[in-house]
Amino acid sequence: MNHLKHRLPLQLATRRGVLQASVATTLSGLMGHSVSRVFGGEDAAGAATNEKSIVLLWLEGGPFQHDSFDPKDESNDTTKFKYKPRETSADGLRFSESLPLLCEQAHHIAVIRSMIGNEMEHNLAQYHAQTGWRNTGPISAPAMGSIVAHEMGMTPMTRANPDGLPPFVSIGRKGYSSGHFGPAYLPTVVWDPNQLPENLGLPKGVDKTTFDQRLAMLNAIESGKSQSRTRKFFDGGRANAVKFMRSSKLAAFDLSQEPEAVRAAYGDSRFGRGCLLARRLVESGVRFIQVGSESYDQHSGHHPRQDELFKRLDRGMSQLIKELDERGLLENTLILAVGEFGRTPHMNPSDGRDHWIDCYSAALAGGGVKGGISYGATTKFSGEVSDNPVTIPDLMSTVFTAVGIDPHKEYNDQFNRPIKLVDEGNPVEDILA
Amino acid sequence: MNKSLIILVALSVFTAPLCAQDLPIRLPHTDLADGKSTVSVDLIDEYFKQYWKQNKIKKPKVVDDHAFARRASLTINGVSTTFEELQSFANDPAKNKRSAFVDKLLKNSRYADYWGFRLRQWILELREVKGQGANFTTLYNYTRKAFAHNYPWDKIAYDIVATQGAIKWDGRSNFGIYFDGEANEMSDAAVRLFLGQNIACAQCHDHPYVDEWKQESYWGLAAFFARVEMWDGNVVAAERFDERFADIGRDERSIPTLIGGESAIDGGGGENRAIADNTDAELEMPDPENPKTVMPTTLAGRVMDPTNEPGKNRRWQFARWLVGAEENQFAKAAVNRIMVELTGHGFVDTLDGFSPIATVHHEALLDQLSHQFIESGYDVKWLIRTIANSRVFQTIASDDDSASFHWNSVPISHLFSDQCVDSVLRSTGKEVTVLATGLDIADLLKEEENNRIAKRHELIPVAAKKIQQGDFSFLADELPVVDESWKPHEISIGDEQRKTLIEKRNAYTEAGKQIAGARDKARASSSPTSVALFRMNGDYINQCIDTGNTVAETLEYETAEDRLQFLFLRVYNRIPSKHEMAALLVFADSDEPSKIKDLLWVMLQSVEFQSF
Repeated sequence: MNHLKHRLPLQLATRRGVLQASVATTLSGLMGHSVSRVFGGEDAAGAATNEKSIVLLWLEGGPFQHDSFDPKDESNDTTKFKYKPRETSADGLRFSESLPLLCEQAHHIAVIRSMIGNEMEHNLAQYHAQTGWRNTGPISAPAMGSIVAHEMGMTPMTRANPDGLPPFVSIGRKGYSSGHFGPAYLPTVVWDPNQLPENLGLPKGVDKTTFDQRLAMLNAIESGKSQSRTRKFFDGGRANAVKFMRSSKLAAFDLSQEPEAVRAAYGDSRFGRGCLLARRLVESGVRFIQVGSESYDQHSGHHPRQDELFKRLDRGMSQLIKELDERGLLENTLILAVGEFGRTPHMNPSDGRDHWIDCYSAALAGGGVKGGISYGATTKFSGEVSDNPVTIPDLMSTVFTAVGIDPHKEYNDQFNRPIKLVDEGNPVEDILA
Repeated sequence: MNKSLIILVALSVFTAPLCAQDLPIRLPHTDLADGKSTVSVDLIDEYFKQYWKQNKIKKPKVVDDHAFARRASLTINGVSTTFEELQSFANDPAKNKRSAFVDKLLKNSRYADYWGFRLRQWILELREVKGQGANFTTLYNYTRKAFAHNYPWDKIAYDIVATQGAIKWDGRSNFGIYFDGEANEMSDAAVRLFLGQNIACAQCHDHPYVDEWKQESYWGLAAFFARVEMWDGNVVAAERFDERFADIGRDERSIPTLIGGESAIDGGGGENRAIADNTDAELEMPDPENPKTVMPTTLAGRVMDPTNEPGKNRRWQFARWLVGAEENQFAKAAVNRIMVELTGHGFVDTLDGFSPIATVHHEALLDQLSHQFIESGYDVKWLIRTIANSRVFQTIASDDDSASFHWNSVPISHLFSDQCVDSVLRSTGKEVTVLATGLDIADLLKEEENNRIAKRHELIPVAAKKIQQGDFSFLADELPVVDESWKPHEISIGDEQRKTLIEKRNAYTEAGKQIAGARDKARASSSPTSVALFRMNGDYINQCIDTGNTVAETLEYETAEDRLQFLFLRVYNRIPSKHEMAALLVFADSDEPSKIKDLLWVMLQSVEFQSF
């Protein structure tokens, strides 16, 4: 009789691990997640047939809906709108004039203008926007990237990209929760798109030969020891790390291999370089790429700060769509640009705009969605949803459906309670291709 | 508030006793307060003697001295043991040496440093998404102090749950800020932390399995926190904020003896926020079908009379309910938690796994231990000492579930982040080199302490005068705290020497920051691949190897055998087996520092270093 097995769906790494179920992996190792999940046991993931990728342009902080994808003709002394709507490459679809380059790609883009959020505070709203769950009680839900890494048939341990690249890369920011899927589904982080992922390069003063000798020595020390779960965990993580270090596709992370003109087209910004790196990673078979942006949270001095961020978005996203299209990759790549909420239609006394959850926009492009359309409508000053409201779970369902993942697939969480990938959301059928 | 009363309160703060020897950077020492009670009964051993006999299980073997020292040191002081300590411990002929070793660890200041991190971590792990602007430094100041002074566990519960105050001054008040002042999140978290029960299912509906946990009782607990107010010092006028909080719940710093000093604390300061209670808010149950005001109600459905404790807020009443919860549940949850920390064995399956329907393993033992824990006055040191002296704590570690099921072997534990960061520091010999810098700058620190305290003395009349004039702005600054009996240190430092010392001090602080960075990294969620990359290629381990003295010390030994043995003791805290000696000797058989460096790096990557 083993009470642990009775109570939990997983056979956990250590008893301490069981008791620390809420703790993610630390430097010191795995806590609270099953070895079978870490190593991708039979239950761990679906079939490895889906070749699609997702690029999430994560517009953290809350971009202003009106100045991006939901512009209005009228303005007044309270709203103080600076920008006008502009015609796009898609008939009848207008974006803000602050996004001229994206206007030219609008025939690839589906805009949802009727997003509604629940959380007013950044951390809670981001958790909700990334996982589809509100942060309450003991629920620990996985974020979109972790779900895709899990569902696209690639576990970092055994079924990773044959070239050793991880399935989920986050550029410029750390990942969110990987929830009940465990830390194996957290992203590999690239802090600076001009550099390799963190700690991928050898330490100072250690060359490749020395490193290989050290690994051989390590094998000598570790050989003959029993194959315990603890050992399997550490060895598995290291094997994967070494495979990653030796990957033939590491050049994907080297932006200097791109012609100067291409780099310039994406824009001289972190976000722009992130978009370029995302394109290279899609080409190398990475399944989910999150591109972080600088914060859109301007409670004072709305202009020119957001103007600059929209310029970066405009360049980076439009170029990404364009290049993926030219290379025939757009049909298998879904791009989603969204933040955790929008901003107030009225300008506050500090010439800033505050958090706004009653209406905001999401833009999708590429594989699985129609281009050149909008969904949902908002009131005169882009302040309220007037038609077809879309919730965060709805948006997640749409994204998953577009790439062939069943949003209502059910798992047992770490406390053995049933939990769906997305709870209660329904895909927006009108924009699905 | 009456003006003269304020002066009185304020001046009493000035003269509150503070150990004048508290330097801003202190070296580890062994002067911590002892627990009140000594180990009186061999409760655990007696229980398992019977249990193993009944279940026809052979009395398990205990680990050897080396493994015992490593385990005790890691669990009680959060760091592997030293070569020197191992040598003297192994050679000590005393019969009660293990017990004495545990006592020594409990008096070591590293005990407070480490368990302060643990308690802080227990709190932070209660929520997936961090609250707005909690101050992790002051929170640690409090949690460390709680262990340094061996606060009774019930006091800790009152402190964390019921404190009003500003987080920049009082670490305890972070609890409410961390949960964004949300009533139900606070009650839910406090129940998980202090009763080991998870009632969250009842937030939206009656609990599906536990009949006693109704949705209404969930919100009844939340109602104890209905009057919590969060104050934002950036919004409220500074004078109002200070007037409200400067003279309550002020908690002085507890200076850690971590290597690298205060700069080795990770987490950082929060925003200028405070938590307080108003006197009239009530909680509305957020149920569209059953909207109604809920009064503070315990899980058993008892409505608390809010008037029966004048001067005490509802959160205080909640804490009193926690501590007095039925069937010693408050003590049971603590006993279970400490048992898990030390042995990896839990009486229930998860730390918050207690419920009326949960299977409790070894329930009779839990009952007895909890009862004794209460008798001891919730003395945490008593509890740790009792467990660490038991045979269960000393059994062989194993990955085999069936072997550990009857508590006849302890499950293998991976090092926690702080255990790992500090053990890397120790094994690479980096700890010694940073400490040496710390010793070098002691004079400088003492001089600064002289100046600081002298300045505080000068400030007292100034402050008193300002307060008399109704000017409280002074209170917004760090309040001077002075021990009247304080005498200046007698030191003299020349200008040249001072320059050198300042450089050294900067180096010491810099080392502390690097360590804090490693703690932060180690705590963050990362994939196993990223963890492995960090360990192999990251700056922390590699710089510790490069700048620690282990490589040089190894080379002081003449023979490869001695070198290997030294490294094994320093990194794994044990002597290599004959087989290992034969297989690995070749790697130690070199005078090249780079070869020894390779070997040290390899040992730090191995499973044995990462677990115990």
